[in-house]
Amino acid sequence: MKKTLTANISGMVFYLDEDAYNKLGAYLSTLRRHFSKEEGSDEIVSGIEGRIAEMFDQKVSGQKEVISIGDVDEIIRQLGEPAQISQEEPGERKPPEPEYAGQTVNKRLYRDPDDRYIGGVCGGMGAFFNIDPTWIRVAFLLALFMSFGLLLYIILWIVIPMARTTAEKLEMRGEAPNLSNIERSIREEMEGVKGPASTLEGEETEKVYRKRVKSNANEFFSVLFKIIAIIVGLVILLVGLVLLVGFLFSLFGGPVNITLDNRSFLFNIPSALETYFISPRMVVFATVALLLSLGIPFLVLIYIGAMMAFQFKSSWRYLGPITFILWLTGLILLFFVMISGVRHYRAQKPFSVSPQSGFIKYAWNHKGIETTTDDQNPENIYLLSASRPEIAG
Amino acid sequence: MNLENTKAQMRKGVLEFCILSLLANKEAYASELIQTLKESKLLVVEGTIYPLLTRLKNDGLLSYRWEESTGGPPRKYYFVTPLGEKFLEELRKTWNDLAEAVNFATSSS
Repeated sequence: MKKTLTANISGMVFYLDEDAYNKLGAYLSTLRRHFSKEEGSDEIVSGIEGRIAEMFDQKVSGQKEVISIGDVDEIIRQLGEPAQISQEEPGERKPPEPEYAGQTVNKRLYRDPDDRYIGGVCGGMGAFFNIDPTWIRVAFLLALFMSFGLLLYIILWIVIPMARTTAEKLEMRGEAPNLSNIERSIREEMEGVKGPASTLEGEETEKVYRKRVKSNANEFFSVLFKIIAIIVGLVILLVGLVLLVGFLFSLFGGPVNITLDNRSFLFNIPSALETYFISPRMVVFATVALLLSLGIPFLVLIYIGAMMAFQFKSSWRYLGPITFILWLTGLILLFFVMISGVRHYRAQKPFSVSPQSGFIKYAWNHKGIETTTDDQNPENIYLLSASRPEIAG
Repeated sequence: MNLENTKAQMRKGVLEFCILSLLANKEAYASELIQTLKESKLLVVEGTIYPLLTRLKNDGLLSYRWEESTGGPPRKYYFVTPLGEKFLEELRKTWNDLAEAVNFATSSS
């Protein structure tokens, strides 16, 4: 018994055996890759797809309904592999590209989605430098205790792209993205999904076997990593929570007594904002901007910590982009609020500031800007010097 | 020296000429061209013709129109543009000169 898949080729529907389907998919993706630098590459590939549909159509007439791998092989033989096509085709195209000739392929650094504990950074680096990722993980853990490891890891996590497509995974391992490699890789991925079923059937591909042997040898490391990841995750989670709670308190909680140079005054963010922006609308804007631009990083920290501590992986792929866009919105809002605040500040005559702004007075006095207080309202501070304090200073 | 490669090199040079000539006689879609070219052994793998047609079209030597087909996917019928006619005329002259020169060189030896 065989599984059958449906494919729509040039607007016609065909039934293909599973292996025929995989082979055809791999063939079309090598063609697409091969012609990708050519002007009108889509047109070329859709022309070839049209031809394939025509040939399939001739094959399925009558009794036979399903396309088998033999049919696909025959069609590929007729149409030719990309290397054969470029050999026969006139034009100023360079002689067969090295990646199709086989051996020398540029490796690229990707994060490995199939070999990861957190973001796949170590797995990808292992593939890139062709060493066991375990050693890179050990190095990162050592670096973690020397304080820069976490930051480095997060930067690498952000900067290095994830290997998503099969071609990218091959590129990550430095294998040529030709037909047989892509086909093998897709098959391996499917075996991976099937898991124990494939071993029961007795057909274990080389990679699956290698993985099993490696995992036996590295069982100890694997457990160790898990434990360390949980501990580090809990620490990150805790730090993130403390930061977030502190931040929210400073935004919405009451003023705090701050002591500077033996003088104490009340300070909290809303009152500081109120002294800076006169209109309440701007205060609301500024609060939202701060909430987004600072709150989101704290939330991300908590999320990463939780992910490490409780060993789960996010399944919603838009989470990252949406978080990033929200954060960026916060930054942009903050920027505009600042600009408008500065403009407002410039336009003002010498002014009085509200009672809670002891901090501002302190800061100004500290910079040699004269202020005075009202006798009736000793808490109001007046700016004396006509020149404004430099904003940047 | 690789014989297959040399043969392929020889065919390469005349493939565009042949396609333009065929299409100047009668407009055709890719599969028809493939059949003719394969019968005359000018083409080994069929995939070759698609990038070639696209390039000739992008260079303004060919143009095409869509035609529905019974059963199969819609077909692109290619035909030669006025610019293509001129190009073909030049190629024809070059071919005649070349054929003469090759005949001369190979028969006098």
